[in-house]
Amino acid sequence: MYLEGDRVRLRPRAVEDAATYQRWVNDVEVIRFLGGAPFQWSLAAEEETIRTQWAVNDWEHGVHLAIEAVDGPAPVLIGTITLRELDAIARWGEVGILIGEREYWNRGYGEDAMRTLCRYAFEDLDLNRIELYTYEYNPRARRSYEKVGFVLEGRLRQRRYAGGRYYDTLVMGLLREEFEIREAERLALDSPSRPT
Amino acid sequence: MLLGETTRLRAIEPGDAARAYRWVNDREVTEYLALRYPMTMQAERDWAEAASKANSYTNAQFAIEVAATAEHIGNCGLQEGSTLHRTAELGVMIGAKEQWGRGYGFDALRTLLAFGFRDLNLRRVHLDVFAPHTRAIALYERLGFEHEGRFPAAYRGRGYYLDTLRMGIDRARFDALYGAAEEVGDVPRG
Repeated sequence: MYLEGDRVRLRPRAVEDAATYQRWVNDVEVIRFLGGAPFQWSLAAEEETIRTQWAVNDWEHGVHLAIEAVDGPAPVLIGTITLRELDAIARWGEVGILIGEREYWNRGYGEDAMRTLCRYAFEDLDLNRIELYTYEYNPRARRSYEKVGFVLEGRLRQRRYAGGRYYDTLVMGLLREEFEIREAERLALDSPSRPT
Repeated sequence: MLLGETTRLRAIEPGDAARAYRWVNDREVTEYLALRYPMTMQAERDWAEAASKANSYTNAQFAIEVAATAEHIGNCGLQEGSTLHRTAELGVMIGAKEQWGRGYGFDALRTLLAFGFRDLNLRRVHLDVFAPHTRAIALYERLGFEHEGRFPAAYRGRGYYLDTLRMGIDRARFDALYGAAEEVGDVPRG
């Protein structure tokens, strides 16, 4: 099953994606936004990760998807999105997103992908809450998450180390009821039949 | 990739084994390296396979490329990383001997040290070098490594025994020599 957004679709990852993921993860600036240190990943290591850690999408292993932009002549692989740590009792999960193709930054693709993943998580997986971690040096990401409906819930002080110093990690969360209200408002605004 | 000025560091790929086989079997390259046996192709394949997955705090290996040409000229890495003590051992080999003496080793190791101190948050980095390896010692001194000890006749060389020198550099010295790191991303003020 592919998850369809407005301008993106989310599909399962494939071994054929490895060279593209490798290019992103070995980009020092990209990895700083994603989290983690700029270790350099070989193509062999990337392929093995796809074949082992991301081979199965289910409750236990998490849902690991590729983001494709579909508003051009052909789908373009532009990023990845992951839902993991799924808690069956409290009905929450943690999401992580990466737009690796720089020319797709600041154009709303990440926001569309995040909204699509959240809709799937609430509608199909019956989650009640989604959370994510981001960093104080990435206000662009934070604004994008806020547009989907995420609110800042906490600041984990100096939890991140990057480029020679410590930075705060920010915790954001989105509840199902908030998302549904926001989605209803957004769809009403988008509707051409909206009374003026 | 980790970018220096004249070199860059990329992941080692299994396909790098053939080049590494030539280097480790070249007497001139290995004279002052801890490589004392003729190496089989199988051994080099195993090395490259393992090195292609060495991307962790305890063992991070890189291929060194000349930035202008993408020529693979050697390898370097931080190994024996200690999560408790926040130390690691530096290793390097420039196998393409026609590229010796051009400052590529200095540029690559400065990049590697910046990675160790500013991305891995290490406290100190050390290395062992054989006493007659004067060109390497001069390079390490130029990078900021200081002499920390000597182990007499510790290793068998070609016809005689070699003294091993221990050298090291800590975070404060690296920062003093190379300046503060640039800010990451875009941190809101106030």
